[in-house]
Amino acid sequence: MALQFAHAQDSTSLSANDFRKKLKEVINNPDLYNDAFAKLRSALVNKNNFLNDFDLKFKTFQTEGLPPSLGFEYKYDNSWTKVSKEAKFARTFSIDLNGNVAFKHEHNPNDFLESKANYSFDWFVGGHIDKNTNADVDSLELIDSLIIENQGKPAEAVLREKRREYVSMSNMFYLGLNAKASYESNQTFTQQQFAPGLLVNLGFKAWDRHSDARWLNIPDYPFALLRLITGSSKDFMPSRASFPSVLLGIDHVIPTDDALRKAVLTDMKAFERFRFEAAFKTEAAVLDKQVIWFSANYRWFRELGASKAIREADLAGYSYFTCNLASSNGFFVSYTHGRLPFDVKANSTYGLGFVYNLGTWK
Amino acid sequence: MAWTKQSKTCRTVYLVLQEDLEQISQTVEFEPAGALTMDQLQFYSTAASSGIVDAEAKIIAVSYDRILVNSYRRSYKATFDQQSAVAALVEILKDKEKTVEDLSDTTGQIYAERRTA
Repeated sequence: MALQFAHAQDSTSLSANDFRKKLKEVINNPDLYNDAFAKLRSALVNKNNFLNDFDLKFKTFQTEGLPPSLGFEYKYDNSWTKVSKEAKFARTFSIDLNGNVAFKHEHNPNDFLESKANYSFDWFVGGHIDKNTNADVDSLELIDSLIIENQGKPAEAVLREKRREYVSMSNMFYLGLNAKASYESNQTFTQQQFAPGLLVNLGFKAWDRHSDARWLNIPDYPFALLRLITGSSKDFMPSRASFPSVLLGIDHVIPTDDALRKAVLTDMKAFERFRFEAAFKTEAAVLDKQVIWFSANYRWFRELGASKAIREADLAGYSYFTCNLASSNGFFVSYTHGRLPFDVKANSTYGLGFVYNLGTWK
Repeated sequence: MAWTKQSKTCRTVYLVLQEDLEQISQTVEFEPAGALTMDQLQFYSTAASSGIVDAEAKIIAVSYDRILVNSYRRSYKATFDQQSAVAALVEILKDKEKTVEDLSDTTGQIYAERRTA
């Protein structure tokens, strides 16, 4: 959320126009509403668990050629997980509601609301770890204490190297099968569709420090170089944890109200849609003690067997890319390009500002 | 429970996240690590859909549990077993506003320290 800094001014010199302008600035500032919501939530959160999982963030929308407009992003995400013995399998049922709402709907660049129920069955392959003896644990816990006591001293690196002898896990693969039912719409509900689907999640972690698997994390190479150049890493070493995650599958889309499709088709038949998503996040650098994270996300939707009319109206496929560099002090720069289902045209949006969490007040 | 160097659980959480799971930058020292929120760890991408964040949280929770039980020989407290422990960890990890200190508190609630003879 971008913070706005007001100029200090002598209140006695304000004209009526200036006052109205200042009042409008205050009313249009999302921080005002975020503060109010954070206070309300911190007062109610222990009495109502629903609020604990509900996130509401007021923000300013900026679309090409239009003035900034106030609105909010909402998110409710709750899940129930059951894990098998030795945690080789897991089953999860989750409910997820999310979307962006602009108070002037024509100003909304991401006009897509999704309400989803999801059931997933997950496999964890690998990730084997030998049980330490009591003597090993004594040594490990002693080394942990010494690492923390010696932070910033030459002994720290030696102690960290020694610690690695006591914690050794094999590489881990993750496969998730999901059955989901989602209701998708734009914020004015002039376009609506029901989209049950089957999805597959894939993930990999190169936990084994002795294997060469980390070298397969090719997207991390530029950032490994950046970490080396900026001194946050002593060697050119791709991350073991930041392998891209992938989600792909087929949705059976049942349009219930879709003005764009109605304009080019005589009927509103259900159709199959392929979807693909890849996400990547890694440490890019450390500058002035601030950790800079790079995140990227790409989503691609394609209608299978789309008619010529749908293809010509450019409604058969949607792609969306977003990336950002975010510092641990809240500063971020972001770039977004493309469109999600229901968006008429692709937009490019650049962002620059600060993010701060309001929900962690105690 | 406060985030302090004197706590064995805090030290364990910090080093497991940083050294074994590469979730915290090597440059972040112990003291400031407690205040890091989940979306400031490697696995939590605010750009990704909830489907991907859920999957990443489960991988980290299962890996974290295995390290605590096998490398640190921690056992589950009376009201927990492996199923409920991993489920509780996933809940914390998926909440982007929860901190590493919150994760440490939950770890203290789930796992008993090893009994030494």
